[in-house]
Amino acid sequence: MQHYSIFNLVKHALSGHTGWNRCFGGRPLRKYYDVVIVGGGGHGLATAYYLAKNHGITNVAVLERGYLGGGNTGRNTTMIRSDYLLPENSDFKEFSLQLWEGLSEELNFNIMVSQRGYLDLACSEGDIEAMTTRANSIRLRGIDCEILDVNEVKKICPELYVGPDTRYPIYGALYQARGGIARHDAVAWGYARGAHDLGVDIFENCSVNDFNINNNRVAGVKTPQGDVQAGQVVVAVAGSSSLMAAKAGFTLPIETVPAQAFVSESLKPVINQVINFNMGYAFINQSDKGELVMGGDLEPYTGYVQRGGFDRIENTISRLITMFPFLSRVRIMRTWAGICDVSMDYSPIFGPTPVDGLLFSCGWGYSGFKATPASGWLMADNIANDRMHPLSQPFVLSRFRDGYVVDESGSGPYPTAR
Amino acid sequence: MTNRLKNGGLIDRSRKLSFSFDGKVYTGFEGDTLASALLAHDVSIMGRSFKYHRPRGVLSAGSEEPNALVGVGTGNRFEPNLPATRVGLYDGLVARSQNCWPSLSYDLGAFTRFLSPILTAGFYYKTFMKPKWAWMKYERVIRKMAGLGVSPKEPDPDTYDKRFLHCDILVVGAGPAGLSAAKTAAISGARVILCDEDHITGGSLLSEDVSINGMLGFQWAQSLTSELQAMDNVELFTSTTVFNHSEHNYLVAISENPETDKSSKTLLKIRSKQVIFATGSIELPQLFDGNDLPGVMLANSVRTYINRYAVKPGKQAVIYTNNDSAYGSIPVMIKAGIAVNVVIDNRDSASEEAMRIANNQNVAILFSHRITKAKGKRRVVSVTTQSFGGGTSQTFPCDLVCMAGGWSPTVHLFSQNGGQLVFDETLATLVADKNSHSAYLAGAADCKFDLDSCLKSGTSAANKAFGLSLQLDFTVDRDIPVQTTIKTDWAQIASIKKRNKTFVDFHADVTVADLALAVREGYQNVELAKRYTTIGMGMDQGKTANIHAIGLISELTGQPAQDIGHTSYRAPYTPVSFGVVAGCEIHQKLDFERHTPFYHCHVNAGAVFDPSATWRYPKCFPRENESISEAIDREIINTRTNVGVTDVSSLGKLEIYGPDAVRFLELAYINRFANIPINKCRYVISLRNDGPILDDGVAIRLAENHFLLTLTTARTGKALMQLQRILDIDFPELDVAMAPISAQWANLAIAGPNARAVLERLEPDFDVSNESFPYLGFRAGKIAGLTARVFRVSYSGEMAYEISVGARDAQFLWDAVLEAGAEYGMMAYGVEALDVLRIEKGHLAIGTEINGKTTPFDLGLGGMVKKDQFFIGSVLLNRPAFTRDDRLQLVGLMAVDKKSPVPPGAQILETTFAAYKVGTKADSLGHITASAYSPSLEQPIALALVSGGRARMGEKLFATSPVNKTEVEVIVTSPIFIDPAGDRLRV
Repeated sequence: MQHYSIFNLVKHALSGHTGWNRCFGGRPLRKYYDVVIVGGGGHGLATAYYLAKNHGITNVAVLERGYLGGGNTGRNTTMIRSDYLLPENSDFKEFSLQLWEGLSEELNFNIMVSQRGYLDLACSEGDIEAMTTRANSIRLRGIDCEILDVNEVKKICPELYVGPDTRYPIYGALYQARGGIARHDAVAWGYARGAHDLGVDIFENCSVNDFNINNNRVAGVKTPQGDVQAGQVVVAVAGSSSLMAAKAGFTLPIETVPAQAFVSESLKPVINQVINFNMGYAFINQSDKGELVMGGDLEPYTGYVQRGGFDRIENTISRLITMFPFLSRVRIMRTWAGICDVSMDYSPIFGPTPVDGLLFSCGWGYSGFKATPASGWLMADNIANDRMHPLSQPFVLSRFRDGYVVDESGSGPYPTAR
Repeated sequence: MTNRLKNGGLIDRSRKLSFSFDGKVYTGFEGDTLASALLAHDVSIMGRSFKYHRPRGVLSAGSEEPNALVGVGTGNRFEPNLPATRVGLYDGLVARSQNCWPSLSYDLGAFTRFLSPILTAGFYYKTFMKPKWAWMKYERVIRKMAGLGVSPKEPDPDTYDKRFLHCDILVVGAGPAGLSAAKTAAISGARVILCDEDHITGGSLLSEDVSINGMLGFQWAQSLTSELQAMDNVELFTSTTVFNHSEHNYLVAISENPETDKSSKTLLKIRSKQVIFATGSIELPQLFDGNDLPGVMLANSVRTYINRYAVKPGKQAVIYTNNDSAYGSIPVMIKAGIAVNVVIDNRDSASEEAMRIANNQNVAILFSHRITKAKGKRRVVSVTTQSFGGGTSQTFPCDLVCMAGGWSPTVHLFSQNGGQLVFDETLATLVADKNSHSAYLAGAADCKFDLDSCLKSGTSAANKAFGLSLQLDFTVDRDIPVQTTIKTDWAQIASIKKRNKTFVDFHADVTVADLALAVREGYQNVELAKRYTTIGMGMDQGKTANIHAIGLISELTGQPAQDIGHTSYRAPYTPVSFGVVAGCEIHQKLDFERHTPFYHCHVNAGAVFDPSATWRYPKCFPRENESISEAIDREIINTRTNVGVTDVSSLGKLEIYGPDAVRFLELAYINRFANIPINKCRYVISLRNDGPILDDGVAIRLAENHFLLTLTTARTGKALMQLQRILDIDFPELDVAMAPISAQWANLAIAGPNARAVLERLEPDFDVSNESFPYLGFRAGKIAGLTARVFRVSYSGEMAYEISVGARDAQFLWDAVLEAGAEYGMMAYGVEALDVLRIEKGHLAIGTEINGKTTPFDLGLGGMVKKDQFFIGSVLLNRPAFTRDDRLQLVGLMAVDKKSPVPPGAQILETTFAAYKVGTKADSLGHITASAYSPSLEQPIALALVSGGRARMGEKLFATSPVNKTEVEVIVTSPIFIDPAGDRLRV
C-alpha cells in the first residue's frame, strides 16, 4: 500500500500525482471466496477489512450493486456518538466510538473524525429528568456524558437561541464531548483501500440477484457476472435488507422508510457542535467544507425511493431557524434521502439468520453510520470465532421471538409513527 | 461606466441607481444585474475561488454562475453567496466580495496557489493524521480556510408567507417555448400558471438579436405576455424560481417581489395536473489551462451583456467554440465595438451560415484547433492555440475569451422526480428520456435549439398534454446560428498527463488533473469521482461542470459516455433561503400550543405554566411572596387535608357505541368489560401488539352497549390509532361506532376529604351520598345548572369527583366550584402537586412508569390481565423475556436516612458507584422513575423500576446519579406510600 503522509503527498506532487495507484477494485471475480459480503457500504467494507486485518481471512469478496458507499454511508448526516439509554446500545456504540477515535491512523486514511461535542437539547423539566436517567445509565457504562443547564449550553454553543420568547425554550442539554462527526464517504474508501491492500476483492456494479442455498445452508450468490461460491455470506445492504431476506426465503421484522437530509451553501465556521432538537426533530452540524448538514424525522411512509417529501424539509427548517434565528437568510443548497431499514425495536438485527452460513447486518435505522466500525469489527469477529461476541449478542434476530427487544425509546414496533 | 454602450439594451437609462461593491460606489441602471453593472465599470474580478483563492470574474449571465458569488445587503438583511448575475440592481445595494482577506485584489489566501501541487483532489485524506491529537487543530485551520461567504449574524427582520396553488398546467420558463406553450394551453381554456426566474419574460429572447412576426424577439415576448396577462385563466409569476419537483406534479417555487420589497419572498406550493418544463439550456465552458481567468466567459453570456445590458465585457476577443452557436456572437460583438481576433473551432468545419457570418466580418477561423492555455494574472491577456494534430502554437492577445462548449438542456427539474436522462452522443450531453416520465419538455430543454422549433415545441407540448391540435401563428424572421454538430476535445484533454490548471468545476475548484487522479486511484464511478474531487458539489450543483466530468471520466476510463451515468439532480434547482422554506411557522409559532378550556381560568388565577410537549399546563398557583416549591407543598397538603381542584381536561375522551362494543373493548384492553355494571367506572389498560402497556384510563359503562373511555393526554393519539386499526383492519366485522370527544368536554377533578361537601354545594340533581354514589360510580345529571357527567375516580388517592361539562361552560364551572369550595378550604392545584399526589399513592404516569417497555405484571397490575381470552398484546406478552423474575418491577424507595432526596434520574446499584473500578461497567439494577418530597410523609420518596424489585422489599440499595454527583442509600418499599388499603377513596 502506498503510505499516505505529507511527505509522500509532496513527493507525488513532483510528478503531478501521476504515481498514485488504484486503491480498490480492478481484480477479476473468482469462483470461490471464504466469505462473500453483499453490499459495499461502510458496514460491508469494514467487515471485509477486519476479517483480513484481525483474523487473516483474506479470501473475501465485497459485491456492490452500485458504487462504494452509495447507500446510507454516503447519505447520512455523519454524526458519531454513544449516548444511548440502554446498556446494549451504549456499549455497542461506545465500542464503535473508540474505534472511530483511532480509525484514521488504523486505516492510514484521514476520515476526519471531529469530536466537537454533541448537544441533545432539553425543552422541559421532564426532558431534563429523562435525559438525566439516560446520562446516568451511560456514566455507569464508563462513558462520558453530562447534563448541562441552559447557561452551560449557552457557553458551549453561544449561537443557539436560549431566550424565553420561543415555542420551546431550552432548559438544558445532554452533552457528550466526545461525540462529533466524521467524513462519511472517506469511511467507505478508507476501509476499501485497507481491505483491498490485504487481498480482499472489491467489485462495484456487481449486483447479487439471488442466493444459492443447499439444505438450508448458503452455498454462494448469483451475480450477472456469474455464480460465486462462498463459505459464508454476509449481507449488509441497508435499504434492501428485506428484499435480500426474501430471496433467501425468510422475512425480517423491518420496515423501510426514507430519511431526508440537506445541506446549506458553504459558509465560514458558524456552528461548532452537533446539535439535536427534540421537539419535533431536527439536527445540525457544519461540515469541514462549510456546509450546514441537517436532517429531521423519517418520512411518515414506507418506500424504497431515495427521495422525500418537501413537507419534512419545511418542518425541519422551521425548527432550525427557531434554534438559530440568524440562519433565516442562509440558503439550502441540496436535499436528498437515504432509505432506512427500521426494525421493530429500532435496534439493529445482527448475525445469524434462519439460513446457515448467511449473516445479516441490518435494521440500523438512523444509527447505522456511527456503528460502522463496531459493526464490521464484531461481524468479522463473529465469523472468525463462529460465535456471537457479547457486544453483538443482544441484537440477534431471534430476540423478537423471545421478547428480548432492545427498544431504546419504548416506542414499540411502529417505525413510521413514532 | 467605461464599458457601457451608448445605445440599446433593455435597461432604463432614465433611472440611474447607485450601489457599492467592497465599499466603492458605482452607478448602474434600472434593469441591470449586479454583474452587468460591475462589468459596465470594468470590474473584472468579482470573487475568489473556493480552494486556491484564484481571482474569478463573472462566467455567465444566469443562475448557473459558479464564480461571481457575493455577499449582498447589510446588517440583519445581509445574505452571503448570491450570484451577482441573479442579483437585480437596486438603488443603495451594498455588495461585498467573499473568501478573501484583506481585500479582493490582494488576497493573502492566494498563497495557496503555491501549495496547489499538493492541494490536489482529496489531499486531506492523505495527511493531517499525525500526531493523532493534532487533527482537531488542523481542522480549525481547514474550516477557516474552507467555507465561502460568512453567515448572517442577526435574526432576519423579514417574514415570509406561503401560497398553495392549483392549476391544469404549470409551465416552467417563460422563454419562447414556455410562452408558446402557455398561450396554447391558455386558449384551450386550461388554468395555466407560468413561472420564470427572471423578472421579465422572454428568456433567451432578451439576449439574442432575433425577430418573430416582424417584432424584435423581446417585443414579441412582451406582446404575448400582455395577451396572457389579460386572460382570466392565466397566472404569471416572474422572479419566481421553481426549484423542487416531487411526486404527483407537486412543485415548489420561490417567488420574489422586487416591485414592492426587495426581501419579500413567498413560497408557492403548486399542484398541477400537467407540467411543461420550458427551462432552456445552459452553455458549457471550454476546457483549457487558465479557463477560469477573469475575462474568460461563456459566449452566450457575452451576447447577453451586450444585447440586454448594453455592456461590452472586453475590447479584444477570441471566440473558442466547438459548435455553430458562437458564430452569432461575431456581429453582435463587432457592432458593440469589440475586436474579434479569431474564432478557434474544435471542429474541422462549420455550417455555411456560420462561415458566411465570419467571412462577412473578416474574422479568421482556426478549424481543428483548440486553446491550450490562457495567460494572465488578474485578467486574461492572451491565449495560445494548437491544432489537434499538434503543430506549432499561436498566441493571440485578448482581454476576452468567449467559450462555447456546447449546450446542455436544463433537465434538472425533470430529473428531480425520477425522469430518466440518457447521454446523447451527437449533442454530447445528457438529455431527457421522454418515455420515462409524465412531465413534458419544450424548447431548448427538449434540444430544440433553433427558434422556430423552439416555438413549435412549446405548442406541441401543450397540445400533447391536453390531447389538442391547436396551432399558433408565428413566423421567425431572423434567428441566430445554433448548435447542430459538436466536437468535444475530452479525449485530447484526458490524454494530457501533466498537472494543469484546466478547471472543470469553477466553483469547487476542480481541475482535469483532479478528475484524472480520482480515476487513477479507483474512484471511477461518476458518483465517487464527484465525492472524491467535490466536482458538482458547490452551490451551483455543477451546472456548468457535470457534463464535462462525464465526458472526461468516459475518456479516462475508456468506457462509453452512455455507461457513465450521472450524478443525481436534486432540489433545490438554485439555493433557497431557510426563512422562505420555513414561512411563518417559527419561533413562538413553531408549533401550535394546546390549551384546555380552563386556560384562561388558570391565567386569571395567577398560574405558573409548564410546557409539556404541545400542551401548556398550570404548574402551580403561587400566592404572593410564595416560592414555587412552597406553592406546590401547600397545594398538596391542602388537597390531602381539605379539598383541591385541578384541571384534567387534556385527557382524551372517547365514546364507544354499538352491539359489539363489549367485544371490541375486550379485544382492545386487558380488562373485562362484560361485567362492568351500568353507571360504573373501571380502571383499564391497553397493550401494544408487542406486549408493553400502550395506555391506561377509565372506562365507564353508560348503557348496555355504550361506553365512555378516557385516554391519557400523551397517548391519546396513539391509543386512538390502535383502536381505529382494530376496527378498520384487524376486526372490521365489529359493529361499533367510535366518537372522539376530547375537545368537546371540559373536565375538573375535585379531590380531598371535603370533596363531597363541595359537590353538594354545587346543587347536583342527584344523590351524592356515599351509599348512592360510591367509589367508581358514575352519574349524569346537572351540576350548578350545567349538564354534567360526574365520575367518582381518583388519581390523587383522595376522595375525588371528576366533573365533565361542555367545553364552553368551563369558566362557569370553575368559578362555581371555587365559590362552592370557598368555605371548605378549596384551592386550585397544578400538575406538580398532582404528580406528587400520585407518586405518594403509587399511581402510574406515562413516560415514567408506563415507558413503552413495562407490562401490567411489571407494574404490579398483573391481576387485571384476562388469562382466558385473547386481546391485543396477549400473545407477545407471554414471550420468555416478559415472564422473567428479574424484570424491572415497580417499587417504592425511601432514603435510609429519611432525609436525603432521592436524585431524580438516578440509577440503582447494589453497591456504591465508587466501588466500581474505573473502566469497568456497572450493571444497573434499574432506575428512578419519579422522585418527590412528600409533604404528607414529611420525607423524600421515589418510585423506581428495579430488577426483581417486588422480591427486594426492605433491601438496601444505592440510587446513584453520577451526572449530579449524588448518591443516596435507599430502602425498597411498596410503591403505595399513602393509604394502601384505599380507605380514603371509599369514605
